[in-house]
Amino acid sequence: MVSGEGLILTQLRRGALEYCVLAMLQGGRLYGLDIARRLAAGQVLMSSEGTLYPLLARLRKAGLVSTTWQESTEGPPRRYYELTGAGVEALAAFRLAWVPFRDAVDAALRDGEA
Amino acid sequence: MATEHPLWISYEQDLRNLLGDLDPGERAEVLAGVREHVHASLAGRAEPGTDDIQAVLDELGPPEAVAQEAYADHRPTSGSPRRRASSSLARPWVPVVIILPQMLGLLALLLLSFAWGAYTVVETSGPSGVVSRTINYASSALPLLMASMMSVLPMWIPVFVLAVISNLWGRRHTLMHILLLPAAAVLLAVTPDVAWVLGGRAGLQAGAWISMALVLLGSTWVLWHLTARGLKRSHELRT
Repeated sequence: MVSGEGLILTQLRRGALEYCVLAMLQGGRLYGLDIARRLAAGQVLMSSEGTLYPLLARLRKAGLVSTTWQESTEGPPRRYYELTGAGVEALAAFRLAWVPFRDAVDAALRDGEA
Repeated sequence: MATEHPLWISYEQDLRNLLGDLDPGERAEVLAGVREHVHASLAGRAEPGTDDIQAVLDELGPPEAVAQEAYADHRPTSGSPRRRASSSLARPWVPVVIILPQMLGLLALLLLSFAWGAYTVVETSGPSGVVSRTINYASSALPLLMASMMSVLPMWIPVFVLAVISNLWGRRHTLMHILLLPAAAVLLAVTPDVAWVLGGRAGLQAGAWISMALVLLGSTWVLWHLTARGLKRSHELRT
């Protein structure tokens, strides 16, 4: 059992964050910094941008994202990440599980207040 | 270049050390991702200053946080049996206990080296009363090295086992633990031969003292560094 907002967020992120990364790639390929900035906005989903890279390495290893290199006008070539077919399926499966899970948690919290 | 700035070099080195137990391919991928992040964050700035680089590193978060995420898939609950077994050797007593045989081994090496006969002086009186003095030195590197290795073997075995099984140290630091005693033995055994060739009797004496001082100071620094690193890693793994 955890207490404290920081610890609770850490626990909640685990298991959900990688699907948030997959969700961000639905609109097309992105490079690391771009994903990190979107996730870190608001400091809820991610507090340290560097933690994105082990997560991306895991997703690539699991075959859920693939990478391609593209030249950049502002410096060295950039590695872009995009969803694979397996990634699309994993995201769809997460959506199916997440919505009833979220609703159940909301309902439990509401019941507790009543 | 941002990647030549001391702040970044220190950050990258810390992260590399913390990721020492990861698969080499995964470690390289994480490091490359973080490096690209820094490059992309500072793109367009010809000469990023210390404040710019510090701001990017602050956004990246501490290397420990990145490493913790990298090991998230390797925790005991989901890890292999080998990693589960090794997690019990990630406690703070391990880096303290491992230096005991190291220190005993170093003491044995120094005493052996100190006691080893190095040269003989032969004085001969001629018929005219002239005394001629000859200094004989026979290389003792090989027997001294063998005696040293045999005497420290009982201390080296527990060091080897603890360093290899424990996941407190990355590959480089594990090697430092394992090679400390053999390296000290080689240095103490070989230096007299080299010193004799370079400086005769005076060189031999100077070489012997210098090699002992090097072993004493060098091993103190290495053991302090390894112990601090092991305690820090143990703390990170337990939090």
